[in-house]
Amino acid sequence: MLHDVVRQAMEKEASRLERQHVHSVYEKIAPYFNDKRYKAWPKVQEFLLGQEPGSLIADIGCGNGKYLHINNQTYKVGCDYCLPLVEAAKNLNYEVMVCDGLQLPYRDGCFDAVLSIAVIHHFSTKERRVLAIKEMSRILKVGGQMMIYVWAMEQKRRKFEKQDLLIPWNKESSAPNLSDKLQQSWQPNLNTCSMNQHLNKANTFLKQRTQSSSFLDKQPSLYQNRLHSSKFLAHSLDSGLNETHASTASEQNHGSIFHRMYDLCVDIKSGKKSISSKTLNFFRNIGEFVPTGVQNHERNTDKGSELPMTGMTSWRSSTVESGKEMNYDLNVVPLPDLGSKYWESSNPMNYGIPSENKSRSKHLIGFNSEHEIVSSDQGINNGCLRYYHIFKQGELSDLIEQCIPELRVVQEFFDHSNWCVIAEKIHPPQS
Amino acid sequence: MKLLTHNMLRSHVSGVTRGFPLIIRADEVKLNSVDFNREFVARMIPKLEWEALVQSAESVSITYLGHGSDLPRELASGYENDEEFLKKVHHVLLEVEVMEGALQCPESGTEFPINRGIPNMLINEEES
Repeated sequence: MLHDVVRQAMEKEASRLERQHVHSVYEKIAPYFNDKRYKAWPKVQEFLLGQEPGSLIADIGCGNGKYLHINNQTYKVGCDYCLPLVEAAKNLNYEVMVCDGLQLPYRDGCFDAVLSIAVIHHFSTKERRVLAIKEMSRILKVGGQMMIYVWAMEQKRRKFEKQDLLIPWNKESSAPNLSDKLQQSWQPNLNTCSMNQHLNKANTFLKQRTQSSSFLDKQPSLYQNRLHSSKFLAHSLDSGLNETHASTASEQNHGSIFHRMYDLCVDIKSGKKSISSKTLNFFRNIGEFVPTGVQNHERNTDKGSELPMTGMTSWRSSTVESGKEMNYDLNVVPLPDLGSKYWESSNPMNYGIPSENKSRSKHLIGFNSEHEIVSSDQGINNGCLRYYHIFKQGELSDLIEQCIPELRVVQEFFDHSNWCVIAEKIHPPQS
Repeated sequence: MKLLTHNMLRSHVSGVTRGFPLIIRADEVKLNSVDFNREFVARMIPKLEWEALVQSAESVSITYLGHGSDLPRELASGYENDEEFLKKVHHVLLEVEVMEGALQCPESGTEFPINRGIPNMLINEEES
């Protein structure tokens, strides 16, 4: 029963995270999308052209309709959560609608093929990723195939330390002369102004925190022993959070889930709530949600010359390959962490905290000031941080094979920094 | 929204068992000209929920024709060779487009608006 409550609370938080770090970001950046500059990926084109004449094809998460023009012998219906992108697709005369990938408004088994390009990596829990694929499977006919692309961990040009990240969208890098920029303007993303802002914020915050008494001031050891060592935050948001808890964090804060988890633990430790050891273990097993930084080993592979590396582990870069939108600022912002590991690491987001203060009540400070940075409206790229779950090799096919028995993975390959899986529906779902 | 699309749509409101077909309220209908592709239409027909198509054609054609559609209630055998019939189906499936209006869940009564030809199938969390 506790599990159900946990699950519900988690679902709510996951959906909030996606609303703020997927849906609203796409709404903001939709006007800058111009997919005309990019060719459809050949493998996707091949998949679409391979469908029989008269096929019905659903493009789930169609964006502005990049793939809807391919194969005019078929009927394609696109859908996306983001209305401005759907409107852009509609202006090109595509058949599109607005819907939620977790609740597709289509009847069972009515599509001959389903396409999901750069969508599943935006769902913030394993459960939701499975649900999204299940929905696509539900609308697929038996014998039909779906093609799924997700962003890959194993990329030549960038390295991620963690799988769950907030990645800034960079307006500048979507300028038409992208290739020039790629070759010429490798700049470390050190916006002095915003750095100072963060520094000030962090310092102000630090002062406030150290002046006021906090849970950590009173009982630092508890926190360290129980939470910090257990790597409290999730691999993704998968596993759960105890019941809906009156949050002290403002609702608009992006990381309110972390506040809640923190509050919860405070309450547990101070005896306000009873919680089973099962649940505590459950938390411990969640894994690591937060990256300790993203190392971005960019190389200009075409010219064979290595870029100078500095102490900064984060670099701004652009790329012509990736998801449907093609441009990423790779100064990836890690999600807020409760663990000290994060602050002890050489994290690029660590710049705001003077070292002498780090040792004092660093956990709480780290957690909150990071939170501050992430949620700052005038923060990196005007808050256009997109949530990604970055897939490891084999993860997507394992997910499908373990959780959706009616699907059989036909092909799995690496393409344009993504993992692609083609799966076939081999029988109706057993319910 | 074209009527071929409508034929694939169902209500996904929680608790709904079939949720199909969605009731169309067509306030504004646009007629497009689309090249007739005999093979496409003939291949499409077995994939349709025929009764639902007839029903939707009926409700929409009243808006733009002032009378019902003349699609047969039941599919006649050998329809794939009936050019006139295939053209009628072609028209209903691909040339008629609901631009403004709404789709209504037949069970829960939930309405999904259609604006500028785009159905919004999001379920408002506060309502559900």
